Amino acid sequence: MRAGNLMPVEEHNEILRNALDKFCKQSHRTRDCIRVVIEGSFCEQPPLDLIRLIESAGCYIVEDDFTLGRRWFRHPVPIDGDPLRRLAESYVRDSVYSSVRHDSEQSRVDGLIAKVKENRADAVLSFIAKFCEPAYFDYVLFKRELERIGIPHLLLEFEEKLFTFERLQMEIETFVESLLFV
Amino acid sequence: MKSEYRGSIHQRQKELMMQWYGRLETGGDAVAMMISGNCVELLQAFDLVPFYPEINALQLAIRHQSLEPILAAEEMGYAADNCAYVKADVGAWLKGITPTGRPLPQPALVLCNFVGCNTYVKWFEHTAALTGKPLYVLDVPFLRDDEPSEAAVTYVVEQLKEIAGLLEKLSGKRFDVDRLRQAVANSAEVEELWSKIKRLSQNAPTPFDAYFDAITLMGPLYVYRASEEGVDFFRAAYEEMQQKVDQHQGVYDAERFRIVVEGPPPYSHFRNFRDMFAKWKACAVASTYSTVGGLWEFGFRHDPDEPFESIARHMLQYNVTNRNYLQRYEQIDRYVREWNADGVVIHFVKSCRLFSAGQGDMRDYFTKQRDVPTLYLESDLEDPRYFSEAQIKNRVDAFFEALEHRKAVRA
Repeated sequence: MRAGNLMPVEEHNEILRNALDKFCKQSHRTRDCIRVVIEGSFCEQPPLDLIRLIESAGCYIVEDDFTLGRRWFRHPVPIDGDPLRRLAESYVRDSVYSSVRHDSEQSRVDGLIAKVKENRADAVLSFIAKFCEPAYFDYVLFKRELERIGIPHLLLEFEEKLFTFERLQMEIETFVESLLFV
Repeated sequence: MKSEYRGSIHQRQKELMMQWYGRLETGGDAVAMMISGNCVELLQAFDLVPFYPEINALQLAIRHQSLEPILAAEEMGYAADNCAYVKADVGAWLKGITPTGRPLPQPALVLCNFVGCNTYVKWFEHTAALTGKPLYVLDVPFLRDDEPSEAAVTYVVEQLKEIAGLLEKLSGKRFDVDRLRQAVANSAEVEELWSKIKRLSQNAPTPFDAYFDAITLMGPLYVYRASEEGVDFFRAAYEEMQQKVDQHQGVYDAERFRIVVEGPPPYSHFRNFRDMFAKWKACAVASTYSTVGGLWEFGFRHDPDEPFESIARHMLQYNVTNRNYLQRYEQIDRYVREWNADGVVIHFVKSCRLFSAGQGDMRDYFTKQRDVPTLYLESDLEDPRYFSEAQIKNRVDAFFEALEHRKAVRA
């Protein structure tokens, strides 16, 4: 996703096709992991080590919102008709939910719960960049609804330049174990 | 020491605000709205009352009641970094705490008149989600150039007309354009009087403090602007201030410093903060905070001939929060020159990131490029935990000592 911001879209599409092909052919041994949705209003991509850490601590990341700024639409923009109008219509009617955009048709809370259900996730990890006020606001209503319908969740904070992850690792491992073994 | 101007308008202001709360307490005909760029004229045309969560929050802080609701909101999941106005409002709703101590029903419609600050959208989304009341988000494009485009004005006008339809259903009254014209005409008259009052602080001594006393007048300005009561109040206020000017009465027995203030006050320590300036007989002659709900002293007025368009222009262009930083520099610069100020006091507010971000650069600009002495203070407008009294007092004292020296050297 991140690379797609920096290269011609045709080249990036080719990379994605190859990657998809390889993923489909790969076989994995199932590990003792929980399926998680990561929610953090990530305008950018969090540190790669952080993503690896979430996986090594016992999580299958089944959905996330990394590089949210790149994810404009839920479906391809129709390519017939006036392209500017099509882009505008897709933005108004078919955007992914985002912390910086009010959508009167679908609330962010509905968007998150749909993600959890569609991906059969066991839990939600709220991963918030320190000082990101919009994400902190969204967390309140997410938390309220997740608790109402009984989906476990964990709040974690990170900083853009974070390079030591011991505390986060312990928090995630404890959370995973509490779901797997308790 | 006499640290503030107390005239009959202060008493009348209290009565008007209590009358407003009395009407809100009866419930049923209130619409929640934000102060910045508010469109109270539209509500007035339907006899609906504005419900301002910001005023409720600041009233709690002034009464030293804001910490309990803030803590309740943090327990619910809000972070230390979230706006404390929002936390105080949500926490007060959870706990049933109100500024008057009497129950305050939630408004029938949550109208998010978003201008400049995205926290507003979050705040009102939360209010609607928690109370179950309907939400309308009025999307006001940020002012990127000197003037809004015609497309931006049309975009806001169309939304205002949509809201008029909602208010018809809410109030059970048909929209009457003549009633809107009357409301807009009242606003224009209040804006003229308010601007004249603000120009009176160009006199030395200034008859009132254009930060602390202006805040007192801001309640009626936003609640009653479009009504005849508002016109009467501001006419009386203007006459009272003019009389003070005629008699050469200032805020103190002798005015020593004239300052321009940028940013909202620390409401949780409002009195103590004011006294820090009173000690030096320093008077605000102008302030940017008194223009969050509307910037009128440079000429803009609502226009009864174009009611919707002028409401849209007010929201887009003539309130400080929807304007860019360079425009704020220019506004402060004009205050310093035309109101003959000695320095600028910048109060950074932790809750208002969108208002406060960039104030470091602003300080550099005024100090280094405009040769205007500046004082930079940091605390919060609502959360008492961020007000470090001794530290702030030290900085205020050091600033005025230096300013006194500068004045003496230049004399």
